Amino acid sequence: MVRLLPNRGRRGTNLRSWHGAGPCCMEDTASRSTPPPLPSLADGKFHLLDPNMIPVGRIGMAITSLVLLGIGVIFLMFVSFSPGISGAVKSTVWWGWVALVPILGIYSWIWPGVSYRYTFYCLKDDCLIFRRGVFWKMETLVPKSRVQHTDISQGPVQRAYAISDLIIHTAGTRYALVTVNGLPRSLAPQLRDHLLDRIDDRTL
Amino acid sequence: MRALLFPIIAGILTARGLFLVFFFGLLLLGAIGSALLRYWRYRYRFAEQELVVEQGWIYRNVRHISYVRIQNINITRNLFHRLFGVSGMQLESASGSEPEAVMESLSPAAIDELHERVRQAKQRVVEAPGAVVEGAGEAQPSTALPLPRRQILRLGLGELTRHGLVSNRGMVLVGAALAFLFQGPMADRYLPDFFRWAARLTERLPLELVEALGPVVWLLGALMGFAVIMGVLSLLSVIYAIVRFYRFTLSVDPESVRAEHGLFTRVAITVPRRRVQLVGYRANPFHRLLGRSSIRIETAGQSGGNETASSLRWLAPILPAGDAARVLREVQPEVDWEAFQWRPLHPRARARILRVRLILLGAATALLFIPMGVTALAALLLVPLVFAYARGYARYAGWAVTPTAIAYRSGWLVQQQSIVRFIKIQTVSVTRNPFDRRWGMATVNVDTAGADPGGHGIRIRFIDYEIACELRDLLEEKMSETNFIW
Repeated sequence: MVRLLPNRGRRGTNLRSWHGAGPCCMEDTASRSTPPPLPSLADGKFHLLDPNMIPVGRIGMAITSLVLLGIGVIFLMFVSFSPGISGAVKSTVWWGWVALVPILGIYSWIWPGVSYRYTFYCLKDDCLIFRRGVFWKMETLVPKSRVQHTDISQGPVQRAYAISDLIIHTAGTRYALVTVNGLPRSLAPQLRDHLLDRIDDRTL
Repeated sequence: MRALLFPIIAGILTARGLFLVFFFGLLLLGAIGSALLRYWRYRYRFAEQELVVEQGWIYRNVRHISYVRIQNINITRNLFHRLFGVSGMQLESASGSEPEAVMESLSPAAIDELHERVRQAKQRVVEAPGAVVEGAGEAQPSTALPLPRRQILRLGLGELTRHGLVSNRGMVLVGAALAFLFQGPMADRYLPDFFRWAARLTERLPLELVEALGPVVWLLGALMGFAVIMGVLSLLSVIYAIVRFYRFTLSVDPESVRAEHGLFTRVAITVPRRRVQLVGYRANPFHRLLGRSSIRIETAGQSGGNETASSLRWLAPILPAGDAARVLREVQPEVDWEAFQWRPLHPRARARILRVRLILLGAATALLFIPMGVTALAALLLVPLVFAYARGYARYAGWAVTPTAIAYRSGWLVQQQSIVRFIKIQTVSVTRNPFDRRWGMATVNVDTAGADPGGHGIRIRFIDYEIACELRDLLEEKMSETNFIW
């Protein structure tokens, strides 16, 4: 339980501490040279999200798993009390459910950490790039000028770990939403303020 | 939320047995509870450049909407609103179909302030030095003088006949007729008679004749029957085309494109040119045989792809292939329609397409082998087709970048092209699945507003990953130079 909640109460820690050079491209770090860091937030580098994303992800997946197992229990009840179903089938279903418990448990424990290591955001002067996916990789680029409006949302678990999601809405269709989930709570508004198209900034 | 509530209440009312009532009651409590949690706290404030809406208590959401982006402010006042001297407001920007903010009660002063701030913000955009804004003159309503309008395309009966033959929409009419027959008021009365008649006809076929004629004649008969059916369908399709597109004319003025057509119902649709998000070009084999093609457009504000009477979809249902560039130049003069330099996909795209299809075909054959036995091997007759497909696809598919737009084309028998101006691109994404990575390929998606979900868009598959990254960087640069305002 201690490792499940490793960074609890880390709210006031230095955001820049994890801002170190994350992997830059999906595979090759060397081929893409990064410009010298700008003093601003928009340094054009790929950053990992808040590591608190891992425990939050674990809790979220644990809840989902419990719900799934609960539905499984209802299904088990249904199967057990149905007279028409043979004993062999019943025991198979039971053992299937029992086997599901460790599978879901291990998956919920491991997966958030894995996907955390493959999720990056990059803020440039005029756009945001979000990159995610362990097997199915996806990289989305939203220019500042195409941002329609933004949401910063936070659930109870995320609040306990001081992270929040930044959701960027564009006028597009298939990729109209770009969700950067798992930013440090104090960083999300900074990113948002950078992305919102402030006319005065643009013309200066 | 409301959508959820109704079935739950219906469930309570119709449920039999205490357990079910309890179950649905629990659901109801849960639904109300979650709504409370979500909407408990709702407040807004006017910030310098944007409207800020804070919402929720356990799940919190803070939304920032730039005044510049606000498109519509809808005010509703029901009885309660009027009693308390307030209004309900729905606020829409360009994204999605749902209003971006819904406020149940707002004082008149607050609404006035919002209007004023939106107006001022839009004013600032227009006046900002160096801001590239398309349709900046949109704010002032068009003057009383009608703009000079020029006709650029007219489709006569000959073209419409070709369109009918090429598009083969006869099945639509057959389907409509069948639906009418089976569902209409006549179904009950005439359908049994029809089946009785059909049964009697088959009984009367003289058996001796069947045996005497032999298989060749029967085959000929079947072919003739097929030809007759195809002929009738084509005829229906031509009639459909003529009824729908009779006297199709396309005309332009400096600001908009207008199409007029229809035999019984005359339709005239006008679309501001700057609303055009994507131009699509399509030619099936019959089109190419007759030297024709078709052009469609996607406009903003018709998301979901459902074609309403008031949306312009066909710039030209059919036109001589040689005229396409001329018409397109009239509609989007910003694009160099002749200057496309098509670049191919990854050199191994053909090999990959071929391999995937062959594996799929093999798997399908193996599956069919279980019930069908050796007959299943007939599926292997499709192998040459697979080769032809892979070759044709890889040869035609490609992409091009001009100074103002990006174009993508793909297809084998039905060849399609999509052209999007940089200014209309919303997001660019590069995706790679495990197979892509194995082959060193990627898919580049260019998202636009109002895209038809099933339609052809800029979704460049099997592109070299390195080139995809270059393309992404190029698009980033081009998009940042422009500001999207519609």
